[in-house]
Amino acid sequence: MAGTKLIITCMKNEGPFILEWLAYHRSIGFDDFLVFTNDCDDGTVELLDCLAGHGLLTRMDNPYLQVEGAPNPQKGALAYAGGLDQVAAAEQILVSDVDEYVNIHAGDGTLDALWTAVGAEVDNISMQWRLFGSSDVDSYRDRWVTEQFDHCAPKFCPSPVQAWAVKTLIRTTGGKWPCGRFKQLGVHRPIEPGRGATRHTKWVDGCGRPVQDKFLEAGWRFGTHSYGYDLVTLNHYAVRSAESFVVKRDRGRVNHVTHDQGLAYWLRMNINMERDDSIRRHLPRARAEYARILGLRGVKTRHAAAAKAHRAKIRALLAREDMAAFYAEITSPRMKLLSRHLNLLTRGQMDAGPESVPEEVFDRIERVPDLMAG
Amino acid sequence: MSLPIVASLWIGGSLSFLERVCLKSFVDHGHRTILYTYGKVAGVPEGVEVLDANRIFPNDNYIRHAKSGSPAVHADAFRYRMIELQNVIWIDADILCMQPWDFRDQWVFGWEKPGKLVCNAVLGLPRFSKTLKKLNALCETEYPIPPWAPPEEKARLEAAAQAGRPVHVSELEWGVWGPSALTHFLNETGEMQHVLPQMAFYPISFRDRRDLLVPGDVIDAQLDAGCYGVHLWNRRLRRRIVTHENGVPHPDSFLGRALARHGIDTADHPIPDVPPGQVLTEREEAALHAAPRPSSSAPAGRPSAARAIPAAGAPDPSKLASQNPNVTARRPAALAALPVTEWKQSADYQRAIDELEGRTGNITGWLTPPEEPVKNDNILIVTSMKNEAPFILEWIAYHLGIGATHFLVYTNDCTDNTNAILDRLQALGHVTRKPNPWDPASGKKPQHEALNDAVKQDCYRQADWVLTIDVDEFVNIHVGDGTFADLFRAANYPNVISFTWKFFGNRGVHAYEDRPVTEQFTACAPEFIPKPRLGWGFKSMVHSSAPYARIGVHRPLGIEEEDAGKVRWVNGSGRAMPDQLLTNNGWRSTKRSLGYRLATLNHYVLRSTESFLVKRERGRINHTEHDQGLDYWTRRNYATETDDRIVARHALMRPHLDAFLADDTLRGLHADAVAWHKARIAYLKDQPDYRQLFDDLRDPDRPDALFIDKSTEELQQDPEEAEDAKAEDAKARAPSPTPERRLTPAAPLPSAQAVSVPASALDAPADARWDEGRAFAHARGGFHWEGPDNALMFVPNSKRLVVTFDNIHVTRAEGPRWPWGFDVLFNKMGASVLGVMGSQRNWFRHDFVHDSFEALAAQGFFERFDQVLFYGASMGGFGALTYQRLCPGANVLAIAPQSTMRAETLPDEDRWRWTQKLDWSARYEDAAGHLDTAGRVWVIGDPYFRPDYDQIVRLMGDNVTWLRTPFMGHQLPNAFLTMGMLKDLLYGAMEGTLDAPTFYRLFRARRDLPRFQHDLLMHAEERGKLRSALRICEYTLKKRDAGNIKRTRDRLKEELAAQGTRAAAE
Repeated sequence: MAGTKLIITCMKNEGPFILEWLAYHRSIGFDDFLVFTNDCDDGTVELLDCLAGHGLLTRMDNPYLQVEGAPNPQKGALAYAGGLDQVAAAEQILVSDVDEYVNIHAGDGTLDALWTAVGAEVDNISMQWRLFGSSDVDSYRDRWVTEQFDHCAPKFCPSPVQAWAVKTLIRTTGGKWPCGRFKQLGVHRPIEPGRGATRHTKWVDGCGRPVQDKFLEAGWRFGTHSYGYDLVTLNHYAVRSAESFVVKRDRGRVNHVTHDQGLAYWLRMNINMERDDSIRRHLPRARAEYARILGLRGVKTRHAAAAKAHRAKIRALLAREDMAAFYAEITSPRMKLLSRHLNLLTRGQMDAGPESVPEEVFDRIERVPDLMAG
Repeated sequence: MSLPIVASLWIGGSLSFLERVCLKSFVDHGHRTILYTYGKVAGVPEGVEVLDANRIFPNDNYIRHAKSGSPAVHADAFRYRMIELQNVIWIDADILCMQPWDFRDQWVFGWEKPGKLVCNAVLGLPRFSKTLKKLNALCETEYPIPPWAPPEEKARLEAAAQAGRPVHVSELEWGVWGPSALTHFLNETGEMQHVLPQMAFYPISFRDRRDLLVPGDVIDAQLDAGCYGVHLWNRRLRRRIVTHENGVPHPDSFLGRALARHGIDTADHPIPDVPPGQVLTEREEAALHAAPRPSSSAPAGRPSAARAIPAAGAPDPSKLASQNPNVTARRPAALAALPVTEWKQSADYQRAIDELEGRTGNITGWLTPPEEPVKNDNILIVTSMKNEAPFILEWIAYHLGIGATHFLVYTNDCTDNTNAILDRLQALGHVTRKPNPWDPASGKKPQHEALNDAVKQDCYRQADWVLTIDVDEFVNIHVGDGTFADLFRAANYPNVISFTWKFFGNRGVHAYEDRPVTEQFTACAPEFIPKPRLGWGFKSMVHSSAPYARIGVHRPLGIEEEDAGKVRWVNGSGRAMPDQLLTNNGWRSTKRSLGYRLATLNHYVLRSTESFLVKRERGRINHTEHDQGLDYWTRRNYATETDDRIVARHALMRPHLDAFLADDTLRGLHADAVAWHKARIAYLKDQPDYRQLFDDLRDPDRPDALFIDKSTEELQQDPEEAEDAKAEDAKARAPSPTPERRLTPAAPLPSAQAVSVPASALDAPADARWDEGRAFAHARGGFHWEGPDNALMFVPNSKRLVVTFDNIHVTRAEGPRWPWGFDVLFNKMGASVLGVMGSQRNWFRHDFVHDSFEALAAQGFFERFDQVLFYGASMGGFGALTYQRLCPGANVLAIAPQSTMRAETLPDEDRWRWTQKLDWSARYEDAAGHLDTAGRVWVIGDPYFRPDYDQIVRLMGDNVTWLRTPFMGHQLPNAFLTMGMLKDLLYGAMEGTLDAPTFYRLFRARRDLPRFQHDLLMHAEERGKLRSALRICEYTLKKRDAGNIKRTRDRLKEELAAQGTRAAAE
């Protein structure tokens, strides 16, 4: 029997966003999910356990505190996952997050179509992020992320460095380790190549072109030579609505617990320079699956509870003076304007945050006609 | 995928049709198109959005090139800023879009000179592009030292900067911020790897730009599927259109067809006539308008856009085309003082000529008053005659009456008493007669020989004016009393005057009478007859002060350029002739130079029917080898209008004529001439061929020459061949419906029976639906082969063969079956037809079909035809593309075809699942990869319909043209039928002339297909383009009354209004 098509992911308080993500990825061909959770208090665990009860996924508490030398929850979880039978049974593995959507342009948009497009002999496909901004959506609503947010970074977006990060879909059949010829699952790609792995692994980018040789050894992002989205885009909804972002900021990033997700992060990641709604063509299929899952016993109420918890969290946070100020800042017209013209900022300004942007820049962009509105 | 937004900048003036067609071409190909302007610009075509350029680049430090005054430097800087701020592709307003710009990348630019120069007339760069950053940085400094400048130049600029006198960008070489900068930075950043070939945007080089105006497909032949736009070189082309095309490109030129394709009317927005290099700076403009203006015509303030046609023909001084110092915008004072005899023709022609006079009046000027008095006393008329005796006295008397003083007449081979009459007139002092020194054996022309001799004569040397006209040409002057003197005065004393012909026809005057020709014949042509080109021929009178090398039949010749300033040349309206006429040796008036207001050259080329017999016998003076038969008559018999203004001038003629007839000798000679002429008529009418001609000429059903349009230059044709063709023409031109276009019939084919049946064919009839066709094929000497599920039916017809394949719909049709499109192909086009039919939808996957084609090829069947076209739609398209390989060189027209249905090759193809049961392992399983040997292959399909797209992309190759039908889906043939374009497609493909521009022109008809309108509307709404959606509704409702569209429109309006309110609230 052919192996499963597995997504491994870590979550902390992602309750309201789980169902859409699960339904979407099931609709394009993933059939197994391994979810590690830590420190959730918004109904994420309850919803996931309910879904697990229906056989749609496996949930585990994130064992990172038990894993020796694990620098953060995600890496700890991945190190742990490498030893699981569920992972060994997978034929395809993707390490991904709940704010990432595999948007396949080839054929009918399914995993099979993607593999057909890249060719039978390919082992790994590194899918490049496209950062999706808030699309000027301020408020959280229980609506689909993939429908609400279509403003994004330009195709050619060498800055910020995160824009071109990749996640790698692995076909495991080539080698003896759980992730093929590589020994270890990594966040962006399999790591620790086995003997001959760099020579024998057929590894392509999102256009189906072979990746550069040095990428076979290491690397988590593409450069100007291998960027591209001809066959697949990894839609990355890093900020979602401004309200949801306030919650995210409070939560801390899973992988970078110590960093502050402040204004500079918003400035860097909230890119609304172009529009890409290519994912919409896959949504009818996803909607059908969503409806089916929602119909499963207990799912609907737990999803509603998660959404409600999210709303409550937003209310609570915005009642705080510092958070209210932060929210006002990120929803200000100036920030919205900047998010359409990030190419005018220097790297220094990008890192330093919006206060460092000189007035002339605003003078220039304030009068520019907004053509994206259509 | 939605198409990128394109945007341009327009500085100054209203748009002419050139910019309009370019901008419109993007709108028509589905691009959102934006035009940035500083201030209001007139003539922006429908669908183009106008935005304030200050929002991108404020106008406060606007830069013009110092040498040329061109705003291009500013436009360079503007475009880089614009694409840094917005996701748009810059286009110059002279890029004509040829297909949707569905580029994968955001780098959009192309070679103008391959390997050397990338032009910036089309420029798309990602907003994070390094090249873009560098270009903008360069434009930040107004004193740049271009890094790519040659070392000496760099050193000079650096030295100047060191010395505190940096060189401003406007003083640098042309285009310092333009293509050279772009090319340099693209190379420096490595972004040059994205460059598109020259074919993409600059397929027509600057050198070949004039071809854009040449009728025919000289341009189209150079374009291929890789051509996204054509740079029209506007700055130069617009000038040429004015100077050489009368402001309107030929309708069959590349440009003319583009205008038609995009529905741009040249008359609405003509090209303003500004000489090159005469772009005025704002200061100059201000100075110009501050200058005193002629009081009679000066409108207050600045004249409006070029489209206004002042009735009085007062040119805007700033727009005067002429470089001639003798030309001014001021009307001659005498012109206002002298009366002008008005003439009215049929309304349409009157309107046309008024507009023309108005338009030329807007750009041509008048003569300045002469610096010193001009001597106009001796006016010599030079002419050649042969057997014109009865017409001489009137002609001489009339021209004496209006002011001619002497006549130099060359005669040759006269058999009537022409010579005697002239000799008597010579004795009376009016005429100098010379025998024409022309030697018939020389191959030269008598009239030319006469002129060469004339210049040696004393009377010529003494003359102030020389006019060369024939005895059937009368100068009719409408100003003042109708004399030369009045004309000179009215036109401010010119030194060349050209009179344009007006043809006077016969209008049923059959019998010869000894009465003034000018009185008997008043029926004439309208003045607006740009074609035939003969119609506006002119003759000229030349003053001794005019600089010229020799006199020609129509005009002075050999005017040296340095003498141009001495020329004072006017047309029949007394207006200055265009400068270029000095050197181009033109002998016909053009829409730029025509003028009839003050003088006309009445040309009585036919006179009475009886006299015409004599004329024919004589032969034409200057074209002795031509026959003056029925066709000559038909082409000159203009009689729809009446102009009897010359009759009023008989008072001037009468005293002279009376004096002649008072001279006994002359009266007697004239009587002899009349008698001789009558006798000749009587004799000729007895000759059977002349009798026949006489009868034919009197045929009342013969159409007026006005309705015989033929643009070819009659004089250049082989006379005999032309004669036949024209006689044919004349018959065909009679108001009968246009005959059905047919392919050339050819000699009967060698018997088709010579082809032997392949072994896999069945012996017995396979399907009763084929019975009728089988009988037809056999009766016509064709064949009908049948296999289990397929049949090949061949019917010979002409040397052109169409191999047509069934599609799945027709296989199921009930009743007698014929090959797809048989009626059109066989009956209408007259092609031989080989129909490949199916009784099952089996994609021709049977040995019988393969064997049949192989057998035909092996037996040289296809070689019997001059041209072969393989044709089919969908499954039929698969057939056409697949089997063409057995007939190398054949053209292929495949509509929404499949390349294969083999699942291993195209696993995503999920239509027609049952085809998987067919055998796709055998021969001819895939059309892709076998198109190299074909002639031209046209594949028509919807690039946005994924299944067809996936099929079609597999077929691309050098000889393959993909004609795109966006949003039309798979069901194309029906749509083409509804749009009435299927037949044109077939003709084009058969004749090999089908090309993208033709196709897209035809394809415009889709806008009126309800299905297309709905799809487009849905698409626009889905993308949230409410305004576009609203436009689609408005367009549709203009064409038809549709309730659902109305409702959608109302809903859209509400939504837009709500949006507006929201926006305002924010």
